[in-house]
Amino acid sequence: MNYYETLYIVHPSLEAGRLKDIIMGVEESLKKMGGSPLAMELWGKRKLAYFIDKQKYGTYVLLHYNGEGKCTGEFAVELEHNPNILAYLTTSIEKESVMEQTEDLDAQIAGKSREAERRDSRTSYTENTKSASPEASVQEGDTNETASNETTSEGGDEKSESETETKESDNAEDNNIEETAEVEEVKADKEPVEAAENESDEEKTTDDETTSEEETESKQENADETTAVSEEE
Amino acid sequence: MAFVSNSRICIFCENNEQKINYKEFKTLRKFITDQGKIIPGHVTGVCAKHQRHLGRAIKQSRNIALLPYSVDPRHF
Repeated sequence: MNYYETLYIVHPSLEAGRLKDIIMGVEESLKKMGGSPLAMELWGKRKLAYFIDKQKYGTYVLLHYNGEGKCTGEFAVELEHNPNILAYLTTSIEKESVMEQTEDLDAQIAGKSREAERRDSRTSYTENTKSASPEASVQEGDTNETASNETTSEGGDEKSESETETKESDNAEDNNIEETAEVEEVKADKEPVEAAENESDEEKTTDDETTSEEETESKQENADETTAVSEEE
Repeated sequence: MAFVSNSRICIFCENNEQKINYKEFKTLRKFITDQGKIIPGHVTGVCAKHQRHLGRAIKQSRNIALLPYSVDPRHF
């Protein structure tokens, strides 16, 4: 008698009652193959690392059981032909690492559905705060930073993750505003410098004109001298 | 995020309580790159024995979609 664990992914569209039917069906098929389930743990709906059957999410279920070696092969065929199971992995484990069943299946499904609802409410809360925060920060500028932090810190413990996200977004926006202000200041500093440079350029051009006139005069004098020398000869 | 160590002592030999299992994908994630490649043992400082166990666990995690086989570098 060996001990095995199978982690399988159920289709994400199955919820509560239908999920329970699938899990019970898998356990029954395992019993037919000669295995005896010892413990079951529901991990809940998780995001998959890659798409399986065009699905982005999946419900993970961990099953511990014991039985003869040949029962795993037959159980694998059964899982393979079940269209509601996206993927499965069977590994052999030691007797010591078999987990104890703490909650029954109904309690685990109810707990996971409650967690999912809480997660959905959190995401909706963060979306609302994110959509509201940029307008306020643009209108009030730097003074809004302390006010927004106070309002977010008044929330309950359950919304701590969303608070941190909103704080980060507020800080990032404030930083952007500060950066734009700095850039404007730098531009203002540059303008008089550029004006001064333009003036100096104009002076340079006038100087160049005067020097060119002098050069032409000196050339004419040289030419006159050469003509005078040639006449003397 | 990738885990790079300068120490020559394997962290799994140092800490006997830390087991290598395909379900501990958060631990395994430290031993793959952002692209999903397994980092060699001489970079992370893991000994040959535990690197074998790590490789097996990472491949099992990939099979059940807890870890990615590969990530397109244009996506990060």
